[in-house]
Amino acid sequence: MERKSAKTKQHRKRVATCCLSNQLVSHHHHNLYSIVTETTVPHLCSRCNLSKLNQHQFTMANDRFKYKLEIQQMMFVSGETGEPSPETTGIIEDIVRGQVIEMLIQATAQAARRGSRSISTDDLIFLIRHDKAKVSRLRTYLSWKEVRKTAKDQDRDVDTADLVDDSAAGDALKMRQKRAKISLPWEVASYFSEQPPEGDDEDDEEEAEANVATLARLKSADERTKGMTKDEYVHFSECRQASFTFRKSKRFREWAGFGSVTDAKPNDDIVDILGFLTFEIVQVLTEEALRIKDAEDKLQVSNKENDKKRKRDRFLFDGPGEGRTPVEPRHIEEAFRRLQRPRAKSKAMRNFDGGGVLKTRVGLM
Amino acid sequence: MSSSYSSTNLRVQILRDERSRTRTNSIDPAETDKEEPIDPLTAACRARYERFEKAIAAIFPSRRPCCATDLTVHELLGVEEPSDQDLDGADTSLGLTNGVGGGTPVVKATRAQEDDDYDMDEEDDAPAPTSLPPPPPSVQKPRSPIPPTIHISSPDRTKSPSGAKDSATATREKLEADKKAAEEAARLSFSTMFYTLESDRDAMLDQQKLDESDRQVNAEANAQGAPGKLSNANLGASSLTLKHLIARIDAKRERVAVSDMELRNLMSEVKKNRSKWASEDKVGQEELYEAAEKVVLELRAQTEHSTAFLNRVNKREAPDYFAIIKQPMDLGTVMKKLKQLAYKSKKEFVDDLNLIWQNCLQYNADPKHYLRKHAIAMQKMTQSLIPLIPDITIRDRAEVEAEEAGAHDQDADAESDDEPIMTSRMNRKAPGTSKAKKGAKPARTESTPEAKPPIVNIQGIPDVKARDSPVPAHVMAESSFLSQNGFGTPPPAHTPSNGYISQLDLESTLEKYEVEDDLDLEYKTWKTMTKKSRARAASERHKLFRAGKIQLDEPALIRGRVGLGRFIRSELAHGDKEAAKDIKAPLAVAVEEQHDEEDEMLPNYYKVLDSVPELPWNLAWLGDDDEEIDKYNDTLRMAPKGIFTQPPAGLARSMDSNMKTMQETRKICHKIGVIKQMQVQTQVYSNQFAKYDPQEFVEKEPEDFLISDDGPIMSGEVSKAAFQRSVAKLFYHAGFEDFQPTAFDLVTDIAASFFKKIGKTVMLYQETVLPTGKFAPDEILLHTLGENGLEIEALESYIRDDVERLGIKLVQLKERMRAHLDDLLRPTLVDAENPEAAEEDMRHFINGDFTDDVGDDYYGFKEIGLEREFGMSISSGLMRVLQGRLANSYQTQSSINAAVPTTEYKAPPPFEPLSRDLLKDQIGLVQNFFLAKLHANSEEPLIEDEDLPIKQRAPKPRLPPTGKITTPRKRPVSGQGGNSKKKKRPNPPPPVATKPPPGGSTAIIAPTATPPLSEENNGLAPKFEEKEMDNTPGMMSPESILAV
Repeated sequence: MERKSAKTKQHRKRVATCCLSNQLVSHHHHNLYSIVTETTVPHLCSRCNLSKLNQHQFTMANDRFKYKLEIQQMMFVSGETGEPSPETTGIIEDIVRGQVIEMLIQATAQAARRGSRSISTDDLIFLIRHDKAKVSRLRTYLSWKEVRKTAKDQDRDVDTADLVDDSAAGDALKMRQKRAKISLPWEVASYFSEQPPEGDDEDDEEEAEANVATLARLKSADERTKGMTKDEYVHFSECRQASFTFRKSKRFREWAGFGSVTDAKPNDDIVDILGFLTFEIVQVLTEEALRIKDAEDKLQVSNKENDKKRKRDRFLFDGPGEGRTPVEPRHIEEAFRRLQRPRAKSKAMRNFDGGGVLKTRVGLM
Repeated sequence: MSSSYSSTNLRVQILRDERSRTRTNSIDPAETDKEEPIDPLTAACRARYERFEKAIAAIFPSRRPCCATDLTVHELLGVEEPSDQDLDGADTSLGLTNGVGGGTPVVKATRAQEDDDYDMDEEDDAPAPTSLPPPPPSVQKPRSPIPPTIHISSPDRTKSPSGAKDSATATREKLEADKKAAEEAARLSFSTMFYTLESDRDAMLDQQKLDESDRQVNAEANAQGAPGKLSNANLGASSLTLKHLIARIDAKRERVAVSDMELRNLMSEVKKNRSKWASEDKVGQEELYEAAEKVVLELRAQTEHSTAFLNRVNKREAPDYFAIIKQPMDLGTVMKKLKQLAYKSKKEFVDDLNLIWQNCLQYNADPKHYLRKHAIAMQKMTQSLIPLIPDITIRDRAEVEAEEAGAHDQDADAESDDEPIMTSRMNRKAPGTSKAKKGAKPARTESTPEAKPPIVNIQGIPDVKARDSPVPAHVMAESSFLSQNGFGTPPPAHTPSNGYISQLDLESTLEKYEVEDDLDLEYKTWKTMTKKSRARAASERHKLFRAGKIQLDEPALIRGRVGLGRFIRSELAHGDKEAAKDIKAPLAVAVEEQHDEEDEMLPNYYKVLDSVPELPWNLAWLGDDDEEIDKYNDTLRMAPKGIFTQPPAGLARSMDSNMKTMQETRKICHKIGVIKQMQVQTQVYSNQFAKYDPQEFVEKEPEDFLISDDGPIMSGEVSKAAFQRSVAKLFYHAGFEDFQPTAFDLVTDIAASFFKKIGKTVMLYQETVLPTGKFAPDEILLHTLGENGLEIEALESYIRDDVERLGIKLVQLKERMRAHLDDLLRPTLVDAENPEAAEEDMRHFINGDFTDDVGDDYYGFKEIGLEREFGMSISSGLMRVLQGRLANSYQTQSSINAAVPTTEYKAPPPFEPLSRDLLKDQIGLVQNFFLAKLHANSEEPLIEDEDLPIKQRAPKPRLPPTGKITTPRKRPVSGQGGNSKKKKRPNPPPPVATKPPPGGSTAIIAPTATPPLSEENNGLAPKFEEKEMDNTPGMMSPESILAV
C-alpha cells in the first residue's frame, strides 16, 4: 500500500517511504512528537536518500520483499551503521520468513500431538525452550505486553467510570499491573495438581541470569547512544520500534503464509510472539554478520598493510576516505550458515548407525 | 551316527587303547601257516608295521607306564625313511599298512581266522614284539582255551545227528556251551578288528522299524478285545496259586490302565514257572508257541532282510498287489495270529511263514528285483529255523487225558517238557530285564542265544557237519560257531554255513553274496551281534545331533554305572592302580558287581564317555540323587551386590532427594485438593478420597544368584529391568507421576541403544593405538562424549539447572504449598481464644496425615450447629474448616459476633398490632391508609410484616452486597409501568399495616421520605399504590379484592 502511493505521488512518496515518517508521528504522540520537527525529517530522509533509487527499483523488481524498511531499522539497532542494500535485506527477509514458516509448521505439529488443531503460545515457546535466555526475554516481553494491555483497558475503564470508584479501581489496577508471570507447562509448578498463590518470594535468579545477554545488549546500545545527538537518538529509538507485526498483523499473516501453513488462525498472541522472535532473528543474524565482516575487514587491513608502500599519501582535498561499508549479502549468508550448523546433539543417535549425511530441517534461530 | 563322527583322532585313540592287543594280533598274519612261505615281502611289511605301531605310541604319548614308549617322533621319522623306500614295491598288496597309515574305514586284519592267543593277553609284553616276527610255531600253541572247547563240542555235534532224540538234553547243554564259547571267541576277535560307524545308521533305522512293528502288533492285538477277565485267560496251571491275585485284579480291572496282553505278560512273569502261552486246557500249546514266537522274533530281527516283510503290504504302495496275491501274509500278521492263539500246529505256522516269501517271489517275478534277494534270504533263514520248532499239534487236555492210558514214552516227553519250562523261565528273565532297563542299560545280545538252544529239537545241526569235514579243524570250528551264533542273534542271511545251502538247493542264487561276504565273516557276525547296542548308541547320539545341529535341550550323555565300571576296568587294564584307587571303594564294588552284566560287544569308541579319563574338574556331584552342585566350590561364587542398583553417588543422591521433595509436595497438594473439594461439596464421604501415601523409592537388589567366573554378568533381562527402573526414575524426576508402558519401553530401548554406542566408542578408543601411545582414560571419555554429541557444557548445565536448581525450586515450591495449606486452614483460628494452642493443634493437624482419620465424626458435621451457638472453640473451628462451608460459616459467625454488642441495649417493645382503636394515635396523613387496610383486613388488627407467617410475608427487599440501592432497580420499575403492579398482585397480600413506628425507625421513614419513583423496592411499592388508592377512595385495592 505504502509503495503504491509512493509510486503514484512523487512528492509524498519521499516522505512516505522514508524510514521513519509515518511511524514517528503515529507512535509517539506525547513528548517525542515535540522533538520531531520539520528539520529532522529532511535529515532523516537524506539518510535514506542514498538508497532510494535502488530501493524503488528493487521493490519493483522484487515485489515480494515487504519489510525492507523494518529490517533496515532492526539492523541499525543491532549495530549496523551503514546502509544495507536491498539485496541484503531481501536475503534477511527470506531467511526470516523461512524461520517463521518453519516455526509455524513445527508448532502446528506440536499442537497436533497435543490433540489440538490450533497453535497455542506454549507450542511456540516450546520450540525455543532450549534457549533459556530467549525464553526469558520472551516472557518478559509477554508479561509487559500484558501489563500494557490491562493498563489500556484500565484507561478505558477509568475514562468511563465514576470518579468515585477511582481509588478502588486504581488499587485493582495496581494489583493487576504487577507483572503476571507467564507460566509454562514444563516448569516445576506444573508438576503438581495444585498451584499455590503467587508469592512474593519468587526467585528471579534464573531470570536474572538469562537476562545477562539482554543486559549486555542494552549496555552496548547505551554505549552507542551516548554520543548521539538528540536527532540521532530519536532516530535510534524510532528504529527500536521496528517490528514485523506491530500494527501490520494482516500484512504479516499474508507474508508468512499463515493460511497455507496452519489450518487454524493463530491469534494475536502468536503473532506478537512471532514479531518478537523475528526481531531476534534479524538481530542475531546482523550481529553474526557484523562479526564476520569485522574479521574480514581486519584481514583486508592486514593485507593492505603489506602493500603500504604503494599506499599514496592523503591530501587535503582528497575527499572522504572509505567509510564503513554496510553488511553484504555474503556476510548474511555466512552468518546464516554458521547459525545453521547442526547441533552436536543431533548426531547423538547416529554414531555407528551410518549416515554421516544429516538431513535436517531448518534450525530455528 | 554319521560316519564323520569317526574322526581319525578318535580312531587313533581307540587304536591306542587296543594297541597291545592289536599288536599281538598283528603278528598273527605272519604266524599263519599259509603266509609263511611268502617271506621277504612279509618280513619287510612286518618291520614296517612295527614302526608304525611305535610311531603311534610316540605321537600320542601316554603317561601310563604300560603304554609308554621311549621313541620320539623324530627318531621315528628318521628310522622310517629308509624302510619306506625299501618297501615301496611291496606296499600296495598289503591291507595292513593301508589300514594303519591311510585310515580306510574298515581296518581288517587279514589273517587266518583261528583265534589265537587272547587268553595270553600279553600286554606286558607288548613293547617286546618289536623284535621281528615271532616264530610261527608258537602260534599253534597259544590258540589255547577256546578252540579246545570247540573241538570238544563239535564231535558231540557230529554225534548228535546220528544219535537219537533221547540225547536232546545233552545236545542242548553242548549247544549252550558252544554258543558261549563262540561268543567268547567272537568277542575276542572283535577286539582285534576295527569298525566304523558306517552301518550304524541302518542299524538304528532298522531297529526303529522293528520297534514300530512291535508296537503295531501289540496295539492291534490289544484292540481286538475289550479287557477281558484274567481268570478266563490262559494263564496256565499255576493260575491256581495266583487265583486271589487274579480275582482281585479282575475286580478292579477297569482301574488298571494296562492292556490285557501286557497284563498277561506280567502275570506270566510273576508266575515264573510257566510261559504266557501256557494253557491248562491245551496240551502242547506252550511249547509250540514258545518256539514259534522265537522264530518269528528271530526272523524279524533279521532286519537287513526282514524290513519289507514286517507289515502288511499297503495297497497304496502296490495297487495291484491284491489282484495277484490272494492271501497276503506278513510277519506282523503271523505275530498277531500267534497272540490270538490261532495256530493249531507247527504246520500251520510254517505254512504262513512260507507264504510270506512265496508271495513276495510271486509278486516280484523279475529275477533281478531286490526284494527277491531278501525273500530268498529270509526263506533260507526260515528253513534253518523251522527245525527248532517242535512238531506238536495242539490238542485239548481232555483228549490227551483220554489217551493217557497209552504210551510210556510219553513220560520221556513229560520229562523233556520240564526242561523247556525251566529254560524258558530263564529266557523270560532276560527280556524282562532288558525291557525294564531299556535305555539305561543295554540288553544282552547273548540273552537270546542262551534262550534258544534249549527248545531246539536239534535236527538241523548235523547238517552243518556235512560240509565241515574238509576244512581244517579250527576253521571248521569257527564256522560252526557262526552257525551256532546264528541261532541266537541270527547271522546275516548270506552268512549261514554252507550246509543249509546245499540242503535248500539255493546255492545258485546265493553264491554271489557268499563270495563277497565270505571275506568278512567276522565283521558280519559282529554286526549282527551288536546290532541292537549299536542302534541304541546311534539313536542316543542321534538325539543330540538331530536336525543337523546340536540339540541343547537334550539330556547330556552321562557315564552311568556300567560305563564307569568299564572305565575302571580299562584303567586297571592299563595297570593304573592310582586311578583305580581314586575311585571310591563302594563305587568300585558296585562296579565289580556289575561286571558280569557289562558285556557289550561294542568297541570302546562307541562309549566315548566310558573311555575318556577323568578331567580335572572342580565341580563335584554330591550324590546321584542330589542335583545340587557344591556351592562352595571355588569356581562358583555369589554375585556381588550392587551391580543392578544405583550407586549412591552425588548426582543420584540429589536426584533422589528431589524426588522425595516432589513426593512430599504432592502429598501436600493432595491435602489441599481434599480441602478444596470439601469446600465445594456439602457432604463428604469417608471413602471419597483415595489415600495418597507415596512410598519412597528404594532400588531393590535382585535375588541372590551364582556366577561362575570373573567375567561380566550377562543377564539381559535383569539388566533391562534395572535400566527400566532408572528410566522410570528419570521420568519421575522430570515431573511425570505415571507413564504409559509403551512410552517407557521405547525410551528404555532408545537409551539402551545410546549407551551401546557409547560403549562401542569407548572400546574403539581404548583399542586405538596412536603413534604416541594409547589414549588416556580421560581423553577417551571426552572423545566419546564428543563423538556421541554430548558436550560437557550441556552435561554441566543439566546438572546445574535440571537437578540442583530444580531441587531448590522444589523446596521453595513445597514451602509455598505448605504455606498455602496453612492459609486454607487458618481463618478459623483467628478468633480462637488461645491462638497458641490453636496454632499448635493446627501444626499437629497439618503435619499429621489427616486423611488417615477421615471420618464423619472427626469433621464434626453433626456438631456444627451446636458449635455455632457456643462460639468458636479450637476444635470446632478445626472441624468447621474441614466441613467445608468455611467462608459462609465464618461470615455468619462474624456477623453474629458483630450483632452481639448491640444487644446491650434493651430491645424496644414489639409493636402492637394496629386496630381501629389504635388508629387514632397515628398521624392524620396515614390514617386513611390504615383505615383502608383495616377494612381490607376485615377489621382485624393489622399485623407487622415480620410477625406474619413466612408464607404470607411479602418478599423481602434484597440489598445487593454493596449495600447500595442502585440503578438496576430503575429499569423494571420504569419499564413495567402498570404491568409491574399486576405482577405484584398475586404476591401475598402486602401487609398494609405497617404502622408508623413511634420511635421513627429508619425502615419506615425512608420510604416515606424518598420519592417513590426514585427508590422502589417491593416493600415500598404498596405504599405507592396506597397513595393511588387514596386518590380514588371508591376503588377497591386489588389487595383487598384478593384478600376477600
